[in-house]
Amino acid sequence: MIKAEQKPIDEILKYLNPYNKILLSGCGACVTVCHAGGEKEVELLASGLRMARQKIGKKIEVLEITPARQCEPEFALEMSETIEKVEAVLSISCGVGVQTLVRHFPKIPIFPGVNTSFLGETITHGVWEERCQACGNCVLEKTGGICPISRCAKQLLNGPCGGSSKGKCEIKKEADCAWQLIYDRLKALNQLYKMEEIIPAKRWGVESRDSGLRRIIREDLKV
Amino acid sequence: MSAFDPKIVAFCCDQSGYPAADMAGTLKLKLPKNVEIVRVPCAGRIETIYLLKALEKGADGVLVFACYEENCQFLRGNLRAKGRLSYAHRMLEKIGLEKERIEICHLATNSGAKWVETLRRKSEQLKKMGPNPGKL
Amino acid sequence: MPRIGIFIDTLQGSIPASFQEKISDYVKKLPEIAFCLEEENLASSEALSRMGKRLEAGGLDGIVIIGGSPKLYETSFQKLRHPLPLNPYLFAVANIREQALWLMLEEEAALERAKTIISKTIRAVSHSKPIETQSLPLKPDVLILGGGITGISIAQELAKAGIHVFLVEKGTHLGGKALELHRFYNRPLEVRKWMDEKISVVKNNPQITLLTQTELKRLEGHLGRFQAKIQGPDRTETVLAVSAIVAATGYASQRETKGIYRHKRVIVFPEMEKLLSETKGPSLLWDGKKIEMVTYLLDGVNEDIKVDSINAVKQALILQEAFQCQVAILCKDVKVAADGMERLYRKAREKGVLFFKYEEPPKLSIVNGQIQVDVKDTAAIQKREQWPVSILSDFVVVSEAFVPTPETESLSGLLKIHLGNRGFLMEDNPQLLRVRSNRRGIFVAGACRFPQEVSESLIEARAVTQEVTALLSKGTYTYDLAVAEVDPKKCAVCYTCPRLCPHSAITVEKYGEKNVYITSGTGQETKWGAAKVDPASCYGCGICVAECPAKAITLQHLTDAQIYAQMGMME
Repeated sequence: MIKAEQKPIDEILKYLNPYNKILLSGCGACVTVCHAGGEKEVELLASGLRMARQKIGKKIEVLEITPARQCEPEFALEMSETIEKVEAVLSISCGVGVQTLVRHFPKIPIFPGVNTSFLGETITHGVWEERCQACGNCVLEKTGGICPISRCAKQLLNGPCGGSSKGKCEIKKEADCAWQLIYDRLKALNQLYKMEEIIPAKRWGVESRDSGLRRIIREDLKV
Repeated sequence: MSAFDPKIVAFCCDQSGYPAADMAGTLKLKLPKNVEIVRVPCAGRIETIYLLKALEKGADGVLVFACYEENCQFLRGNLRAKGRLSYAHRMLEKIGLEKERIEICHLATNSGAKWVETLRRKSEQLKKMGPNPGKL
Repeated sequence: MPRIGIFIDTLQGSIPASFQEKISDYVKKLPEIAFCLEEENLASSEALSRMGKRLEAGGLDGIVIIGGSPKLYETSFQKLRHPLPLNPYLFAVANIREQALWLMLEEEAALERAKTIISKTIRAVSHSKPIETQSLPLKPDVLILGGGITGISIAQELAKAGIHVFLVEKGTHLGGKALELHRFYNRPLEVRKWMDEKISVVKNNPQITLLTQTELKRLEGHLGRFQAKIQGPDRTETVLAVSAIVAATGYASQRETKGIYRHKRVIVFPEMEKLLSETKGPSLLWDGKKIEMVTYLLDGVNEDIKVDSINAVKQALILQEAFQCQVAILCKDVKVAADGMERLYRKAREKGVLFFKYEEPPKLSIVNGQIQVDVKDTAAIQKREQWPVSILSDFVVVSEAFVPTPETESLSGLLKIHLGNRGFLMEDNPQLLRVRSNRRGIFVAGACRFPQEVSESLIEARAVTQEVTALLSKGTYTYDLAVAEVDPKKCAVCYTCPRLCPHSAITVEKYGEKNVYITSGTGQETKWGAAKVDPASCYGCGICVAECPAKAITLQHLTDAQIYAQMGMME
């Protein structure tokens, strides 16, 4: 799921400086699960903003709303009546939610309240780790289910670099070497022969993000 | 400066703070004015938003009375409360409010004197700090 | 406008009449008040029956008792034979004696404070809703995991009480670690014979279903409705439906195997027990020679456990009396905190057993095929000297480290109970609730909680019997719904609450319409997966309520609105 972290409130206060009535919009999906933008966080942030502005003598009115998600047109449009009443929107959904609102409300400033960090897994409660970088062409079958794009600092596709040492990465000393993990896992599955298959270099400029904005179109689903 | 009685919201858990408050009364110890007592079954019930809302809606300080670590009858309520307090502290620091306005105090049912002492000390501290500039 | 009735309790004059009058005047002017009655001692049975009669008239949304601490009234309400004709959760107490009158210096301030407390309490009780009681049928079926001395004793006692017991043992035979014992330290019985009798009672009891070579594979459900999946010797799986579970899986021992500890003359306690049980006398022979000097080396491991101390003194006495050996016991501390141990220790010293107290660990070396033990005795008269003592021993008996069994960790995961000190299963409260786990309906007893001597295990077995029979005797478990409840529509299934609930009362389940939970296997259509708090297992602490990132959980008897009212806020 998308994992995000709240922006420091002093940064958010800078964005909101010119405005006196805003809507603080959370999201009931990914950011709720990682405790960055659910209804609880909306309440907390709203209270903090009000007190901060009260302190400097420039009161702010904060309306609070937490739709189930912010990334569908219907959810965005549901908020239209409320958005008409405010000068700006602070969205603590992920970057997708912010931009969905932007597309549907072109005349209102929409600000992000979280930093969308990565697609990640829950390791244990309160600890999340990056697992996927949405490269668009998943090679997990060949690597025993361990992603070399997100977990290898150099995004190598055919084995470790010379810096892999005692299972750890030379770029980030605390991180496990992804290729060590891949090797160990393929060995446990008796699939080491898969490492002998050469994975060709990713065509970043053609099939991935460096080729520009990506779009998925399902003609069979279109209404 | 005219006398200002800082408003303190004291969250008291049923297994520590609340009986300590009763004991303080039985011992006829004297409490500063303007202390609101909120009774909860466990400090774990205290949501972070209550700490902030207390300040937002007029309190100058918040005290959470919880059991000593490893003494929570519900095993981890007081530890969760500590975590929520540190969240509130981080926010207070960033918005320019003194983080001393929210504090946790660990005690037991027999700590009537400590209960009153902590509230008196807080009241004195808040008098020096002045009223909460964030209250609406 | 809610209609609130007021009872002012002067607590036999603790609240002076003048103060009480001013309070009355204030209260009677408030719009929500239906009536305001004064009592001198509300907690008395006469006053309570008067209250009952007044409540029967009905038409009230809540009651506020203005008096002393809520604890006073809560205990007297509990003692009532007939409950008051108003739901107990519609009562609130304005504690103006302990927390206003007695805490304020001037009466003026006390009155102000009392008025604030009263108005806040009235507002809080206006948000209250009646909370119903529910009951859960409890069938007299219990699962006991572990066929050692504790498990066997509990099975026996519960069977006597008419409860049906499934006794599940992972090994091939019953008895556990107690089989290593030959004699008890405090009773003149032979352990083997005593155990065999107990085991045959268990085997022949129709109330006890004995399942050996069987293990627990999965546990679902909560108090009264546990579904325990077990796997037998032929790999078949069965599901047992039980009301309560007892974990009595015992402990394991680990022997030190480095260096000199591998020597054949360095033995552990069970080996000495075996030797003593097999030898008839008059002397102890080993490897063709008579054993004359035995040294016990205690507190190298298990420093805070007294089991080794007890066994050492017990064996030492047998060695000195029956086999004319000389015994030396080296320890950091002589642990005699067990029934009869002080007398036994004195007897041992009288019979000539030597005790040496050390601080530095003694050194062992091999000298002419025997073991030489060098120790600095700290019980010297001149404290600054530590007399070095050398003991040339035929045997050195050392402790094995007591550790949790290898399955304990996975058992704690299966049962969803906590692990405590050193990885043993944890009790809820070591002083008051020693045999309860953190989960309602699951009990922990015996050495799986902490390595202990047989007498202690028998006491814990009786404690569990008492707890379980008390729980199951009425055939139902009655509880009120003053617990947490999840709104499945808001639940994001983030798993925060199941992880954080200290009592493992929350699981993620399937829901159908709105708040209707669908029992699995009924074929009804499920629309949601969401968290569900089991109301019979919930302790009402509110931790999940505060942690939920979607604010989907409500604590029925202490909602946000009631807390804000207590804080003096209008929300």
